[in-house]
Amino acid sequence: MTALATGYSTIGGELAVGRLGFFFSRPVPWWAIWGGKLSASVLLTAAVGVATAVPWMSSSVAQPLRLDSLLDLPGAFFAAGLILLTVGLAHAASIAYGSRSGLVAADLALLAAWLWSLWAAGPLIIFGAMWVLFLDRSPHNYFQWPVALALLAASAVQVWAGRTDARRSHFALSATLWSLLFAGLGLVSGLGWRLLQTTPKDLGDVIWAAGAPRGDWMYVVGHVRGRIGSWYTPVLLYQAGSGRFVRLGIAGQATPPAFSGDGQQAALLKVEDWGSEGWSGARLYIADLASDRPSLRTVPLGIPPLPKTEPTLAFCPDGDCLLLAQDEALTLYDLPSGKSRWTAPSLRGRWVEPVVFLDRERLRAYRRWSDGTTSMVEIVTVRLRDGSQQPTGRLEVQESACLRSSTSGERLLVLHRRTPRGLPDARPLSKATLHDGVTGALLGSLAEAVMDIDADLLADGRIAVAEIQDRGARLRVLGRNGNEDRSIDLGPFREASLGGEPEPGRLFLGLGPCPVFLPGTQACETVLVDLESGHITREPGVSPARPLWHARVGLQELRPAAGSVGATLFRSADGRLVRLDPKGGTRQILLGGR
Amino acid sequence: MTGHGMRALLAIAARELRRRWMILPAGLLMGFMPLVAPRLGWKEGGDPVVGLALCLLMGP
Repeated sequence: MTALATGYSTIGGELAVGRLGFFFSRPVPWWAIWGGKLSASVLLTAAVGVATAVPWMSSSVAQPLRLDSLLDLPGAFFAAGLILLTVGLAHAASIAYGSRSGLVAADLALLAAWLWSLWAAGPLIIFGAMWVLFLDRSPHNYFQWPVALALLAASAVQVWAGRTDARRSHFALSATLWSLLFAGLGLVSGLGWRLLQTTPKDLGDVIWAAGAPRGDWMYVVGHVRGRIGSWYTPVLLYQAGSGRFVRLGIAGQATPPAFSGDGQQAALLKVEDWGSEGWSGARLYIADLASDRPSLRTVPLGIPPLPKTEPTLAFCPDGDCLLLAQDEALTLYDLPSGKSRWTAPSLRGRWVEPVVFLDRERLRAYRRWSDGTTSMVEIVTVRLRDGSQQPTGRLEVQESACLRSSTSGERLLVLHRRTPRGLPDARPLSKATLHDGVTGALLGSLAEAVMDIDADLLADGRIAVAEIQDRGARLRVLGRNGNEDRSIDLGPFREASLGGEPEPGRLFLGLGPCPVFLPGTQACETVLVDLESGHITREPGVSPARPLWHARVGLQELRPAAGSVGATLFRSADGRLVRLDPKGGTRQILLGGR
Repeated sequence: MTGHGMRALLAIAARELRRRWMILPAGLLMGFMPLVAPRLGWKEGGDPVVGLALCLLMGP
């Protein structure tokens, strides 16, 4: 109130009624008039604020007044900026009002344009301002300062150039103010834009990475080095051999991409709008990785993705169509047109992963529903031509169970991760079962009552089961029908997850606990197991670069494809992306490092 | 920036303060409101948030 009153009256009010000539008629420099009046306004505002605070802060109503509460630097800095901003705004308003000129309309139009620019370039401005101010968090608490300083500078030019002429004063103030505000906005957002033009070499650490099933393109998420590193997690497609890359945006904005079978295309959805219940709009992007200059293009979709439900993408075997899987529906789009071929609603329940392309005519999908007591999974064959559904079987599963299918869809693994009710300290009791992939009939039990389990079908048809028991971690290799071939002790670990198969008959496993987001722990290690001899090669300090906690990597690929570049990608304890050579055991650092 | 100019600046600032000093005791008086309000029946008036809002209202 004081800031508004004094900011309005000290210069603008006196200019409007012609009393400012009293000062200019004397041998007083312009800056003394400007500085004297505005400093009095600022001083009065601060003093009134403190005077109002003293009685109640000194009493027992609030906490007693302490010197350090008055000298709290961030608080004082914030309040000083607020006072300057309010005084400056009131002053500018008084000059504009007092001039009675049509320039006020231009001021309002420029104000609207500036506010729109501020909104439109918001993220760029935040990153630019963080870099300029050496901040490691958003500078939104200090945004009043640049505007306040621009207002003060404009008021100085106004007093210097306008003197006692109200209209000339207004023009000088407006020209200076809007020049400074637009130039500042352009400079900071330009700097922010430059900071966001990340290349793979700018990554200080890699959070995770996944490779294409063929070729050497990979998907990388990491933090950049430098001041904005903890805030900015760029997402890139990267080809290690050539150094070529495609920027995909930032993590959280873009879904993990799905690669086509030949590794020449990648598809992802970018979120356009976020609402209170999740995202409400998304756009499909296709990356062409085969050309000399890999590029990202948007594809208009005939039917937009449904809102809220997290979407997952998968290319058809020939790469000429794309499946969008959501809980409520499967939708197949033709490529490159983006025209929708069909939508298969989930009818009752919801579609769950995985979806398996059986051939060029059919895919197999799984629909889960629960009636409150039992949870069922229905096995459905969907024709790619028209989306017609043919249920072929069903099986009863736990609510938290997850499914792993063979590439042919003939066999199905079910991982049950169960937590007994009423036993607060009980460890989860998990099990794995093998089923017929068409009818869902139980073929055999693979593991019972273990503390944790991971299992999958290997490229040669055998089954790998990594299980945790009281004694530690163990890898069991089973034949196609579930009969045990070999059991290998992995050591006293509490977590074990299956990694990729870099070569036939050799399997990587991640043993943990492993870090999820931040590098640092040495407790995590990787082992390369020779499935024929049972020989184990330990690789301490690295973990699979594609953690299993992120299920939405691609419908077909819960693990890296056998023999792919992704099967050899690991993250070191300090966050570097490392490629392990399964033959020589050498480590090649691909990205990261401070 | 000369000594004469600085003296003029201070004189102008002092003149402005003299003209508006009454706002200071007004602010001080308003500062007692969170103490007095609960005794006059407005219990929420004693909330520290009210005091803070009052400071911001009176100052900026």
